[in-house]
Amino acid sequence: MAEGRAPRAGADGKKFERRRRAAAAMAEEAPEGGAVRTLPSLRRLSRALPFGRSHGRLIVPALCSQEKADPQKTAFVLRKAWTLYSVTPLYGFRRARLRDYARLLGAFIAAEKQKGLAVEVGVELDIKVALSSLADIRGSELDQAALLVQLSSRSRSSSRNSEDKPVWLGWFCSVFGDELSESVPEHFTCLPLFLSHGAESYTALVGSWFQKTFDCCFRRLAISPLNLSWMVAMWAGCKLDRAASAVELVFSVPRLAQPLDISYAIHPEDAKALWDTVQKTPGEITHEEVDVFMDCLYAHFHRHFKIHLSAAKLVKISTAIASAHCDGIVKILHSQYLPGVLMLLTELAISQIQ
Amino acid sequence: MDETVAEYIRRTVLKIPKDEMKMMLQKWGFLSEAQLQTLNFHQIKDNISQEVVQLCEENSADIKQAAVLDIIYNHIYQNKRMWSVYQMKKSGEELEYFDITDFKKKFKRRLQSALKNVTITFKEYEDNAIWIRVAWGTPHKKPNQYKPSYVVYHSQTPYVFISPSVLKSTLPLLCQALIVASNYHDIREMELRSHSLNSLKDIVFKRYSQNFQTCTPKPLQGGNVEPENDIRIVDENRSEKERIHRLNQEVFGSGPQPILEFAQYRLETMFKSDPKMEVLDKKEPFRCLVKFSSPHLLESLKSLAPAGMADAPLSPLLTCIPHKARNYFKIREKKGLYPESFVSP
Amino acid sequence: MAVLRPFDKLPRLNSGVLLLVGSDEALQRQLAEAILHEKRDFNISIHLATSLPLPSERDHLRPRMDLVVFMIDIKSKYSLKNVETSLAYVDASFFLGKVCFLVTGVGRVNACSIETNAVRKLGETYCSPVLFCELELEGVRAATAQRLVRMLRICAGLVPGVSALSFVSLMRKSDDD
Repeated sequence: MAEGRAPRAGADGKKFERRRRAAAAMAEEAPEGGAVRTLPSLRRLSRALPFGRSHGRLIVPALCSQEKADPQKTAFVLRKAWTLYSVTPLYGFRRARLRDYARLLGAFIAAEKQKGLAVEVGVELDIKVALSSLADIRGSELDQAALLVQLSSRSRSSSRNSEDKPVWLGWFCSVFGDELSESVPEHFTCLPLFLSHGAESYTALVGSWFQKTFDCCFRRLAISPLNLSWMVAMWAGCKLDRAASAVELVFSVPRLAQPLDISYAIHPEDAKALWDTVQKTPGEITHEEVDVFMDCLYAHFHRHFKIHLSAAKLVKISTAIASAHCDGIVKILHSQYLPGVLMLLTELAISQIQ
Repeated sequence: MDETVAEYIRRTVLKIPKDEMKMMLQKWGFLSEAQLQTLNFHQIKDNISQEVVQLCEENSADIKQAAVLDIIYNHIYQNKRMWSVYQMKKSGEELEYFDITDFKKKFKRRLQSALKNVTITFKEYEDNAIWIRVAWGTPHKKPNQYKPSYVVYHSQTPYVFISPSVLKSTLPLLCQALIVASNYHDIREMELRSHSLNSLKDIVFKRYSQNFQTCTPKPLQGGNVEPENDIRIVDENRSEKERIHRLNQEVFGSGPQPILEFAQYRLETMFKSDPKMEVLDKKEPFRCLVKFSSPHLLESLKSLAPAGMADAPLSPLLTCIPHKARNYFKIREKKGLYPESFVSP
Repeated sequence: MAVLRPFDKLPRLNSGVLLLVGSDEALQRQLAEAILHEKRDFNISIHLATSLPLPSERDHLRPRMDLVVFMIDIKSKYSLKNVETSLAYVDASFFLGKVCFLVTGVGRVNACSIETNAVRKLGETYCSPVLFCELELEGVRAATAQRLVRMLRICAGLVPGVSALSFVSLMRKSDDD
């Protein structure tokens, strides 16, 4: 694994140095929810390239399950819609103090509710906070173990033996995020990918506490059509034992007087057959191959409908392994490929930070 | 008054937007004008509906009247439901005089003989439309008023518009009753579905503007017409744009398009690639499902070529939607490439 | 006359002719209007085309093109393909400074459908400058228009001592930084 990755990280010394400086500079002053619409420098543009950007080639690490991963522990990840954020490294975070942090965060949430920034109307809820480490969710030894934040509610009026109801989940992780971890100074913890599930208001509360406490910055992670194409090509080619769901691409044509959405769903076997003839080296994907795959799909569509799908905006892709939306919302469906998916998302998060 | 009827009336009234309530209750006509005056329409909807239930109690409303209110609501908010189009076939060319009483009698009799517990309500509207509401029960249970089927039948035509109940098993029975009542011998579902009932009617009754060949094609600037054409900007492709505009007119006509929200194509054609790319050359079809959706699909498709997003003429698979009166297609490869007109099962 | 040639017609007096080639007509028109708004001391006429080759029937009416700008929208892969196929209809001598690639849509880095490397490679292959901009922002549009007017002046031969070729080699050096 290490050999496959070394050329990517070390080959282009100039880029490496630039990233080190960028990471040290920390929080970007960009507003939440998307890139600032100014004229960026060329350097910033090159970061928009998809995975394997320095060589246009992605070495796909073993996308199979890790034996040590306990499927029970990672089951919570599957089949939920996660909203993605990139997080700059956390300063002064200590694993040993998880219980303290949970207490502080709980107090913060309670205080904010008192201030009138109530999150739920109606029933009075006490929010309980739990922080835990997930040692199973990481890529290499260089990665930090994932950090899970759970918010549960217990109705004040209910009796002692009522259970806590989970209300919100969020977790930080880093899967093969070596590029970032290698380049940060001491006292910084790198967990560049944050996933949340639950009310937006809770996400805002938790996010602002982390930002204040650890001097980090959260930003919504948007996924470009280019990155979505990579994902669909990669995941359409994955082997699955049981009946898989269709490979679906959703396009939007917004600039018309009447907006048009086009859903293009392909039988998973046929999509995989197409990808297998396009991919030249197993375990490696080049951007030419992704291009050819997408062009084939566009050409087939054009043959029938005379519409240039390549001029429309790819907003969502869906495969049996996972689905992803350009607004940074992801659903992972298959535990077997969880590390691979998280690795891609970690890389996207890192490229947004830098 | 039955508790279930009261609850049903309460829930139906709750669905109505506050500023429409008075009008709808008046249309219903079950409560007298005096009773309506006593209602305070400025309080919260919960309270209004409670008061309405009270008044209905005074008038001893039963499920039949409640069902009429439901039809009125659904007639005004018809676009909230999804409608499918069915076509009935006669065996011969007999021109029979349509007798509405006879129709209702036969319809009721057919349904009730199969299923004792049904609520059947009719309401006629100006445009020769007969609205039928059927709530379905079982031999042992009273009809479920919250999952009814709606039928709109224009007696002068062989077309029926059905918004079926979620209880799918009721559909065959409903179709049967319709044929029997209207003296047809067969009924088939057309592959045409939409929320806009009026647009469905426009399509099957051919009420939308068809293409007319104008004898003098006007050379228009395709798309946005510049109020003042700057002569320093020269459009090299003006004739192409005019061609696109003309083709669009020919295919879509110049009037407003019927409103459809989606079209679905099940493709089972072969994948043909550029021989330069050594890709897939299977002998089996490349199976795809393509769905187009838009608040106004046909207008949207019409604007694709002028926007540079599609070639003109647009594919016949898309342009045939109104005259083939369908928006669900199954396309198979067959020497050329043209849509099959058989109905998908 | 399918192929566009730079010197097959006589030039007009004190004027420059710009040809914009791209699949998005609305964007072309916006840019054309911004260009015409710019102060200048020579006549500009702008021709808009969705692709090359240009329709042959208007060939005799067409003036000599001084500068050809290929417009690519980073949000549309189709716009790139369109430009790639159009390039075949441009005579090689045009690429001595009379062609430039304009890439718009870069304001939203997260809406990329094209790799910027691919466009840069295109610029390198055809020895022509690649300008990145965001035409939907008025300020940037005006700045881009200014830049194109300056380039057009040179390409139309209206700047004594500076030829299109010398200018483009100057530009290439600055691009590498």
